[in-house]
Amino acid sequence: MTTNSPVDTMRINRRGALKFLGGSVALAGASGILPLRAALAEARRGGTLRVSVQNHPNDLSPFNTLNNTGFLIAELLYVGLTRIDHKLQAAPDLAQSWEANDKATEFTFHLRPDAKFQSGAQVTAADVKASIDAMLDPKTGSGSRSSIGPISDMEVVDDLTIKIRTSSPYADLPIAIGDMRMKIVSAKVLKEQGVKGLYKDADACGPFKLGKVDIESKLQFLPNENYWDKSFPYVDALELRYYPDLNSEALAFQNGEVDAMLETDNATFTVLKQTPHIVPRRQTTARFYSLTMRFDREPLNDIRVRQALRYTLDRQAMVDIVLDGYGRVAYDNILSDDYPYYYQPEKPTRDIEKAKALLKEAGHENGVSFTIFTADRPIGRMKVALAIQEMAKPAGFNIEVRRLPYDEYLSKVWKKETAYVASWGMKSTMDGYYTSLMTSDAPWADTGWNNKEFDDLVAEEQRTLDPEKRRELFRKLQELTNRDVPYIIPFYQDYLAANWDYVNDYEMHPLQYTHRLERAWLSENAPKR
Amino acid sequence: MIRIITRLWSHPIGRLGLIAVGFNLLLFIFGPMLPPYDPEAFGFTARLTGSSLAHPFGTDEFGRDVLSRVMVGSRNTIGFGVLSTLIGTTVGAAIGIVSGYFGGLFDEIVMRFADAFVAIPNLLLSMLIVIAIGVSTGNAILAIAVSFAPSIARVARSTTLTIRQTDYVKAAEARGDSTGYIVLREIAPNVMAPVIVEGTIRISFAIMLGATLSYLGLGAQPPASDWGLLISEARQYMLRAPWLVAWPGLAIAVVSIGFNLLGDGLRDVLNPRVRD
Amino acid sequence: MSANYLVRRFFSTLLVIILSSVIVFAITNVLPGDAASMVLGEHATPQDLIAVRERLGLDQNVVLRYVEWLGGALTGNFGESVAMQRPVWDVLSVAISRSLILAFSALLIVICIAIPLGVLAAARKGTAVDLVVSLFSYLGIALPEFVTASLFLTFLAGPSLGIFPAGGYASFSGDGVVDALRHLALPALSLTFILMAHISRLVRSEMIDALASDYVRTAVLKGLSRRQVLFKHALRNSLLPAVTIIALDIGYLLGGVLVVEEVFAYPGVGRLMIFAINNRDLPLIQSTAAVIAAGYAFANFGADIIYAWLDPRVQYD
Repeated sequence: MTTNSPVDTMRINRRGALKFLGGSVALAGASGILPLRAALAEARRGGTLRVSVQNHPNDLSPFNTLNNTGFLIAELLYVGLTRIDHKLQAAPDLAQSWEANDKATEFTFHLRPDAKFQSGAQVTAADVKASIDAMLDPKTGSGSRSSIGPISDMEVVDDLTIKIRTSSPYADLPIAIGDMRMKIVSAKVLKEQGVKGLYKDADACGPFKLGKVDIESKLQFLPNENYWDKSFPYVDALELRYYPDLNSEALAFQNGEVDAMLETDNATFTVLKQTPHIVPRRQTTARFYSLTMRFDREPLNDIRVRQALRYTLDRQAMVDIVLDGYGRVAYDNILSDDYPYYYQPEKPTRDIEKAKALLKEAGHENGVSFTIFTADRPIGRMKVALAIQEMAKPAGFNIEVRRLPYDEYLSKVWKKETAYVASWGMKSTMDGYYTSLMTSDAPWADTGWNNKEFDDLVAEEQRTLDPEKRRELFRKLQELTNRDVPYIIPFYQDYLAANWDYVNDYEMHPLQYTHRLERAWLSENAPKR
Repeated sequence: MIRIITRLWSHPIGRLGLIAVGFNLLLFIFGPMLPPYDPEAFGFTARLTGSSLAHPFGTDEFGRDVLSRVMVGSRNTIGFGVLSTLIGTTVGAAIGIVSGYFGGLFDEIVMRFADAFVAIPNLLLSMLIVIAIGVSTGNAILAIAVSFAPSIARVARSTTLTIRQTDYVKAAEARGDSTGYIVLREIAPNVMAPVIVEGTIRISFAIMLGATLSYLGLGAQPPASDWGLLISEARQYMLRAPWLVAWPGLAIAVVSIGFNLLGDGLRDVLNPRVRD
Repeated sequence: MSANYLVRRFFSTLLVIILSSVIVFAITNVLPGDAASMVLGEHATPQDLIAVRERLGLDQNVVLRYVEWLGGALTGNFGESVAMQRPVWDVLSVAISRSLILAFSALLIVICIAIPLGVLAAARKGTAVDLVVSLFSYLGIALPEFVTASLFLTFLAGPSLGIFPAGGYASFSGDGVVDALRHLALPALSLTFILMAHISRLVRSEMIDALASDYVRTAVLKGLSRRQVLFKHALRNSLLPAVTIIALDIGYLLGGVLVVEEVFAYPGVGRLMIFAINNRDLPLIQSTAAVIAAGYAFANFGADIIYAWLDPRVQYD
């Protein structure tokens, strides 16, 4: 792992690790940025926590949320059947425990008996079934419909037990069902009003309920008295404020108008890091920008051209330029070392002669030209394209870069053009990357690879439960992707946030969709308002 | 022409405008020819540095020389403003003259549509047009031209209506001169004055609109070095590297104030009522 | 002013609004992407797209959609926002009230500062005072709104000064007058700065015309003092066109609101418009654009009426 500031990362990792052990333990800062605190601080109740977000939520339906604000709201208002922990394993949420049959095709979930909706009604297996049915209904139009596993049918055994069966073996189902959109909603609401009933304040069962709503500028959340864990939330109220302009968000945070920025960009982070009493938070994740290259388009259909492009990149320089150092070098592997079966056959470094030789072999001794398309959001897309353009130039790559508005990118470029910069968040399972992006029948098969050998290995890996056999299969899969280079992936991008030093113990999760703000608390030195 | 320039020179605002626009002209011609560095070349070792001898305007997040980028951007930016205004003004004036001269139902329809276009703010209209026809510098020029044309048409039309009533147009009509001749030789030259005044001021407005489109991701596209684009890209680093906003901002301000001064000077000089 | 004139102006205003909505509909109809793909982003599968398009009614013919929209709009039903899943009017009406507060604060400041400045520049035409006033007013239009607004943001809301909040909105009733005014200050100031240049320059040129007119010359010949001439005769006569100018500037104001509200996170019509465009939310784009056009058209209608009422010399049939 490479990083500009090892102290930073270490602190966060240690904090994260301690938190994972279960206590709300605050660690005295080692870097000097974090003020010294008692080793074992008692969580304090009360106060209003105000956090800033960049997007306006589209609607309140957990199934249809589109942006980080929506995911945050879904997490505050609702619970999932399971949740995904820091090690990307399934952890209990509404389900206290579960077991699978030997073939990994049937999963039995046991629900908590004390879970209640805001209305006071018990949360039952029927609510779980109705919620999953609604998610799987194409009419709901949820972005997570194909991410929660190959569910074939469900059986409500009793109020607190539900069996979920899959059409093919799927060992990762308890993880997949913890998807950020797969929240448990009231069967009654769905029955009476359909999914539309969720667009507004619906009967939910999470730690918070909606307070004062000003959907255009701020949302207030109050503790839900019916939440099963009576010790949470710690704060009396939580406020989300929207700042669409990034400078205005950063200044509002620096002025103390908000207590925490749940996500910030690297330029702002660098400035905030130097401000006293502001705690910069940094979490490694496996999200990435990829240069997606179609296998069915000249000149990138030639694997030697793809290989040549790999050898033009100075990956650490890209981390520095595009991310200001806040990321880890990657070697075009869609899987990172966050996953158990990560394997990197080769670590290509910048070698212009080698790149030239490969291009010559492919018949492009006079250079090769193509266009890289990008979209206007997120900002990093364009920078990745410009860096590749500049670095590949000496080897004979004559690349044009074009930026389009996001909708035009989606309709004209994505899954169509020769080369474009895509952006993907971290996924909870290794298999999730392959089956959503890379197999021939993947819903978003964006490179058009259509590699039979790869498809067969993925199918085999899904059937295999033995860890060592699985490891071997994943090794072969990663050798294949290393050979054909479906994507150029120069780095994995860190997730950055910041808060004032009086804000404690919310979570920085590698998947970014979990903040657990019900556990956040404000120290005594928090400003009184 | 010379007479107008002489008169502008003796007018304090006009003189300042002439000087500033002259400077713009020099920038337009020589700016892209003399940059000290390749404006698109990365400098891996000197990223986000402030002013220095090597880089008087500092460097950006890719280590590119800001001075070179501002210099190269001058032609794009000034050209953008002048071209979009020129198209919008010409089309608008033509529509206004024709509509005003012929009058009747045709005039009524054209003017109602012009009113409807004018009711949509320029920025909003050009945003929608750009999104519809695709994002590129050329399309942004076109969109701004379209958003300018209706109000220019209104100016040209009202002047045409006045001139139509004058004796010399009436005389020309009585002589049996052809309609084309009357429009081109009698009316168009007289409509020129207010249209030129309006157009000069609009050049800076067009540059602003172009920059704002860039801010919203709909204008010139990187890696080009259009000033508006430079500013909107630099905004991300505004708290950390304010010079990235300051230098192209200053350049825009000089150009924009220049055209405004010139326009105001022209207004005073060409306005017959204050000519004494 | 005859009732006939009033009615005719009113109907032509309505016609302008309807034509603007036709223009917006025509343009948005050819947008390359659609709300469905924006809704699903890179997570869309073809089946999902079809399902969402159906849910949103995007599979209908555009003329039909326009007629439906117009019929609804005339009865106060603007349809449903695609991206927010809420009735457009619910969202829009709140945004309108907030933008009106912002726009009127800006206008008020502008009128108090810009008109006296314009008079001063005209009275001292061609002198250093004129030049200084002009240069000052040029500053407002020397930079694009987003830069001006960002500068205000950095200097007045930055941590070093921190006088004003960096953005957001506080309501007069809910959060108190002081808080509401603090949130209003920077966006209003940015708009003022932009408008001031325009209005003071137009007042200046109107004043110069008025000062050159026959009745002012007569007044001077009659031996009235310079101050009397300036304020009693010239200003009164140039304020009439100023009314029209201010109405015209509502157009600039409405355009400026787009950017200024975005920079300061002020939840009004402008930000709603940008949100709608970013999400390709057609019902929201169309209705918001129609409201903006209507705001402009009615401001002009109002100006015409005030003009006719103030100036009985003007004959209207």
